[in-house]
Amino acid sequence: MKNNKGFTLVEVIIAIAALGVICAVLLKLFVLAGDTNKHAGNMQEAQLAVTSVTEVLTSEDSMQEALDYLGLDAKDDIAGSYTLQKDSFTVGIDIMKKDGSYPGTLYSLDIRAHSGGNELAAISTARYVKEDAS
Amino acid sequence: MKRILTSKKGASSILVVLLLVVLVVFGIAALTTALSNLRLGQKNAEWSTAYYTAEAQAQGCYAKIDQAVHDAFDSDDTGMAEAIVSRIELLDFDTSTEVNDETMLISFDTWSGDIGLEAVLALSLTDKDSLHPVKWQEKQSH
Repeated sequence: MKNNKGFTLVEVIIAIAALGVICAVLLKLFVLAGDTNKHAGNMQEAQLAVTSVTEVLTSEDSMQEALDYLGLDAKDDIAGSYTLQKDSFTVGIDIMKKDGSYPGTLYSLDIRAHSGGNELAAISTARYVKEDAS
Repeated sequence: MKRILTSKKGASSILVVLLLVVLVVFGIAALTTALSNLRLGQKNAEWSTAYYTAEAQAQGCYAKIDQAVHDAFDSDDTGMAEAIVSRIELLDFDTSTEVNDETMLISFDTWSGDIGLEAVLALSLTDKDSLHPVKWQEKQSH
């Protein structure tokens, strides 16, 4: 005789609920992967923005020319804090003159990229410029 | 045996288990890729930090060498090459110098972790303002 006995409603609901819980946990893996990818992408883009600004500051003939190239108004003695918008990041540039009596000027450069109040990338370096010597 | 093979009992359970396995495999693959991406970004950031730290040290060395060159030119010492070399040797980092005719080449390395920067400065022995880099490049490893 054929057995036509099925599951009760409670059994079906429990099975669907259990499957739902397991699927929710597994789908969270995808959400986590998406968030991680987004963060990694932001970090790499911020690093690119900081590196490109640093390269301009360290490769132009003078600091004045570098700041002009970046579209920033240079302060009287170059040293100071500057801010510029690059892609979706706010890039902060701190230029300081290092102590020491040199024929030229030794600048310390601190470049940081922020997005939404979070610092995503930073580079600290220095540059010796003979042309800016007073 | 034939009854087992033709029975449809448990077919939906197998489908559900397969679905879960597929979800687990794809989920782990996606997460692994994302984490690799993040690690790559972090490595890139670490390399940049180390490279520009080495660059900062090299720029400091360049400034000190320039100062030593100016001191030598401003001194009453005879024999400009010797006067420059003696002042450069007093600096707090290793350098090597080479004189060809009227040109002096000054080489030095700076390191930040495994990232190094190799610099060579050229100077005309008749012009104290002629010091300039002729080689400024990354070194692969110690």
